Amino acid sequence: MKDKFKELDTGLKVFEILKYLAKQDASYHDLERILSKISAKELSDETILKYINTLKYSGLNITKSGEVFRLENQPFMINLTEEELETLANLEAYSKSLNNERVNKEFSDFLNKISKYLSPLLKEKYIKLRETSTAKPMYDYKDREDLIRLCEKYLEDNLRLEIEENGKGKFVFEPAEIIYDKTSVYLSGYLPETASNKRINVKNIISVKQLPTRAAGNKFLNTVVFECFGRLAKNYKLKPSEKIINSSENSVIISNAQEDRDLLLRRILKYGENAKLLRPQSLRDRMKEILNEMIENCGQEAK
Amino acid sequence: MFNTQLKSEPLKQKSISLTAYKTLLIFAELLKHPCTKEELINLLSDTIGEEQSSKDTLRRIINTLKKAGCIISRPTEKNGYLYSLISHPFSPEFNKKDAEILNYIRSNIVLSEDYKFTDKVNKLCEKLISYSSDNDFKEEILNNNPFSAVNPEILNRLTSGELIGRVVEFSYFSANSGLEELRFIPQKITMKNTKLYIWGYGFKYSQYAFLNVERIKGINSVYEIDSDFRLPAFDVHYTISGESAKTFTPEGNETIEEKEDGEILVQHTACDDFSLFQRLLQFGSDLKTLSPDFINERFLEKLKKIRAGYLNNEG
Repeated sequence: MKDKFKELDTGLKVFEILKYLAKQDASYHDLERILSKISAKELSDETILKYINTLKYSGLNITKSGEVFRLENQPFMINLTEEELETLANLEAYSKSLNNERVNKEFSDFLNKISKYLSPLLKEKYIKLRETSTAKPMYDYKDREDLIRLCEKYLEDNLRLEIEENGKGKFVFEPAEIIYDKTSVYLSGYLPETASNKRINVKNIISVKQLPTRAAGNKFLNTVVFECFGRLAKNYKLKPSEKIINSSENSVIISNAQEDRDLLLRRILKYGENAKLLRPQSLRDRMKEILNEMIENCGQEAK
Repeated sequence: MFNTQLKSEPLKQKSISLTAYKTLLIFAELLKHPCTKEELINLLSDTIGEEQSSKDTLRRIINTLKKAGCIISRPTEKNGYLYSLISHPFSPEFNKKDAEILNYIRSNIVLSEDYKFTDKVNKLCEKLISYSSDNDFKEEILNNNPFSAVNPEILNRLTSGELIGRVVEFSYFSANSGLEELRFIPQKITMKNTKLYIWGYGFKYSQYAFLNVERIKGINSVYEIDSDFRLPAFDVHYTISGESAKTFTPEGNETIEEKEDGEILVQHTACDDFSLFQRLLQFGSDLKTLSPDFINERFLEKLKKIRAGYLNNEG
């Protein structure tokens, strides 16, 4: 009985050493300390070396530098296909193309975690894939690198801004997030004047002045209300900030609190006669203006 | 990585712990695949040359592994009498923060409407989930999957391109008619506002149309188009300016013909008014000219109908 306990104990001790080394390098002293938690018996350096040899004999690559042991390969590997490795390389290239320091750092930390679990062969393949053309950034925001860095700083400082936007004049703005799409980079945030969200193409920013007021945490948002009809009403998929406030057989009335007003207006316009903006009146007036301008552009005077 | 193969040298002569080696041997085997009791006992016998009390040894090893943090399922009739390693302490330590950064990048790829890249990223995410034992990581990734409502088999067949330009009979859940069978010739796949659409010729109304991929419930049959069939199509030209010109990206059926002084002239091959007008409306008053005349007139009529909804005093 006593021997059985001893046997179990040894297997567990070696496993505990492996668990520790999988996370960090360790000296004899570190390993003695770890093992003392599961074994009352004091362990000699020779015994620890025997355990290390057992791990090595099992195929684990453990090196020793001075008095410190290091596990060079994890006991468990992530097996990625060539296509998955390529996707990972493309993701890395994509994250770099965003030119956002925080994103780059956090994604790089994540990649390092994955890398620890890749075999040397897969690591080598990954490095090669990173260098191939397919892994190059699909969308290049390099020409806006400085603007993105500035926006990152504004987000970090969390102060209200006075922004002058091309064609829109000056307004007070609370920055919240940087958004990227196929062609553009936007600074999105809150517009206290209209209690609505807005996103600004960073290329359209003429000047920015930081104001000595902190951006408020909880924001009151004015909602936009619109109605969908017919097939659109039946098929409409609510966006994250939207709520149905009324519905009947052929129509549904939706409130939207968070979408950028200009974008929402364009979206409602795109639905054609299957949607109508109901509130606020100022946005309805803007819709009428746009429709009149479009009619004029088609060669007919607006009535 | 373990390399616990049969060794030529007698184990007992080496300065290793035989008990610990047996534990590692069984762990390494379970990492590869689930095993029956007999397979594990044979492995011990073949590697160590130990024949007596093997069942007891295996039981003790399994208990040690469990004590060390492994979750191992018991062999039952239901699982084919297999020992299966459910989780272990060496899984990658992915966490919620990792999922958040992956989701942030994925959400930007979604905004760029690149469905192929999005699909590949989703597949990579699924693979990484399979290696993680962190529930927060898994939930965060799964809850933000932009294609979660799409049947993965259908998505694979669509993204492979095998259906493009062929007649496909879909089982489709239509908002108006419920489940119906639709004959359709897919031409292209697009992604808008996180949703996937296939565009092509629909036989039901004999016109160019689109289907929401989420609503496709099955692919019943696929066959080649008659050689004399031609898709209806006509060319349209339009110019845009302002912010729309700055952020313009041509769609698959568009080419930029001229770019001058912040104005862009686009050639668009259209198959029906509906999708053409949807495209044009999104430019708002940045849309400056439209030709040929018959399309301009039809678009004007459309605009007037929309405006009529704003001319009365109703809310």
